[in-house]
Amino acid sequence: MKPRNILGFLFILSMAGLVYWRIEREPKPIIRTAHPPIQNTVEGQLAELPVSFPLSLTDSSGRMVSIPAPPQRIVSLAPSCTELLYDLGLDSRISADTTADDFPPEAAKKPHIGGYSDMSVERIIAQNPDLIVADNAINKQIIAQLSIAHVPVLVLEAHTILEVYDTIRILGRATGQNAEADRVVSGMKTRFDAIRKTVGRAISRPRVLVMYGTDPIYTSGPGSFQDDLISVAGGRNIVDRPAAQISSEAVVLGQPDVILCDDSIKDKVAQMPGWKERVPAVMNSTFFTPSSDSTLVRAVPRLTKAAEELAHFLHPELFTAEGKPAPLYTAPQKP
Amino acid sequence: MTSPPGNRRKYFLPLVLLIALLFGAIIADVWTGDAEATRTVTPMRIVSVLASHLSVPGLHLPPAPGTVDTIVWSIRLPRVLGGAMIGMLLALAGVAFQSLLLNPLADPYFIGVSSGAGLGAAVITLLGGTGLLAGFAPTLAAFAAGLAAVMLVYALARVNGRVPVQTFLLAGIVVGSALYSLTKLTVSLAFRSGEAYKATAILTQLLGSLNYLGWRDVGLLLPFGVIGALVLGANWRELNMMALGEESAAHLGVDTERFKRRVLVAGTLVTAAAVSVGGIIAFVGMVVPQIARRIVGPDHRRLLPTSMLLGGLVLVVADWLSRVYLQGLDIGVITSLIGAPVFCWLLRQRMVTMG
Repeated sequence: MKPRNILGFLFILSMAGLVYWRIEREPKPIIRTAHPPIQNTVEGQLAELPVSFPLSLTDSSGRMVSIPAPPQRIVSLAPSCTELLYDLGLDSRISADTTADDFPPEAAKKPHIGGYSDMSVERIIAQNPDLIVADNAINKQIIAQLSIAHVPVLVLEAHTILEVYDTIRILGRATGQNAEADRVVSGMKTRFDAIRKTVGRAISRPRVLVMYGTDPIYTSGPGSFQDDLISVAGGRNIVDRPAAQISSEAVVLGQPDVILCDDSIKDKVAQMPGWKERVPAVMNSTFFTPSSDSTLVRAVPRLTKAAEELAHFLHPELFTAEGKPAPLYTAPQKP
Repeated sequence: MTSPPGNRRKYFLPLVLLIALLFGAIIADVWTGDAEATRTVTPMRIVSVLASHLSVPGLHLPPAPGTVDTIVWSIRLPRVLGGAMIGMLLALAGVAFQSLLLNPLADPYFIGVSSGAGLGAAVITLLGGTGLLAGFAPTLAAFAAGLAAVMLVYALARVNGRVPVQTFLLAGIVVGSALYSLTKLTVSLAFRSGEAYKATAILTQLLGSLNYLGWRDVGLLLPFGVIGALVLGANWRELNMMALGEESAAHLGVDTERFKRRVLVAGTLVTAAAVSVGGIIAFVGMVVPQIARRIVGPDHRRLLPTSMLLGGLVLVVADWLSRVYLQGLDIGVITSLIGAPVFCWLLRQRMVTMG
């Protein structure tokens, strides 16, 4: 066979493959699945787990982690992990965190083992930790490298609010702070319930879109805590399937009333072709940005604060100026 | 310089065919979009939107809903037309550089112009100045950096006051790689500064993407395209003479060094416009002029328009393929995946010609 015949054959083969592939598949939306299906929650199972050290427990990644004694030198590899450690009152036992840690403000004063892109295994090991806490979403690579360190690595990962509760309980168990963990979780539940109760009176449920970037448009769909927050706050996510991306056309069709995004990309969002004349959130400039002491992107208890702010933003008529639920309308008493 | 009638027919048939194909591809590309939108954006409504915007007389169609109007007129049409223009500009630059350097490898990507322009636009993104100068800042930076890259290549390749073609190409590859590394540095810096959205913007630009082109971008491409096409078109005679070799061209009265500079600046200008809007889209500038030469021959009076049409066609078809089969994959990836095997095939067929 001459080379030109082989090339021609390959070309025809690939074209046939394309056509076959096209016929075989239903047209699919330009949306990629972001998360695996939600795993079974460990809530309820924790009560039976051992309380005293040494202990073994299963972390979010499904691995068995053995911890010989209550950890005293904890290294955190992600801002969310650092926050959880502070929330559990482990302030004095954190020996190092990352340069990206900005909450609580004291976290910035701890020694750092690097940032998102320049984390160093050497610096982690040099801290001589007895527990390393990592977030699977951002620490995947370094978690694999840390197996050489012979230090227990606790991997946390939360996609939904329920999974946030789980990670708090797992961390509480691993550090011997069970009571604190239960207190933090029930505190979160109480606040979320209060918001649900208040927005339950709302007549409308505004359409909401979360955006992390404009090129491509990264977003959050069902199965994410951002989606949970939107429904808690009395909104409706226009992304109705688990997705990490959405097309510009789908946004125009979805007609979001409010866009949740960072201040830094607001201008770019307003400049998306066609949005200024057709997307309500851009037409009315209704962008929601969480305040500096709340968060939309970290799986931490501060999510409750973001939910309160969002509920207030979506349903201002239901709240007083201070953000407290407005008093219910009471009929004037007959004299 | 009039052509015999037989030759003329050989030229006009492909030209008409290419124009028809380009129109067909544009229609097909406007037809297809996000699968979620296909139920709402029906062919009838597309026609209705286009008719109402172009105020076609005698056509009275039921008006389309506002969302459909926005999707067709503000999202799809500028993307497709912008894509076609980027393809035309890249092909134009390819013809210019290939003729100038008498080398089929001379496309804007390989002689360092694309890398320079990409770096210029990336630096503006990193500094957060994409909106400056009415949105022209990235293009002007791309032009400045692209021109600086070419001048550096020119200076490096200069031997005894002349610029031998082979040295020019080598210098281009070296400078291009260095500038590409600097672009990677801007990505790294953007990640480290915690502004990940800037890093993804630069990465998208490195991949080459037509997503989210608006009328603003089309308006930005148009003047550069017109200037570039006019300058190169006005020099078709000199481009033809250069194909005979630099010495022969000089004997025929071409001021070769001045001519080289003029064509380099024009080629850099069109490349910078294309790169600042669509990112680095490889292989179009290299392969399209080769194929156009097979169709209409080496005469630049015909080669320039044919290459432009073919370049536009290739990019619109690639965009359509990306939307129908590949979930909107970035176009630079597709042109490389298609362009490399096509170039290999041309090479095996001994179809790659100098100049």
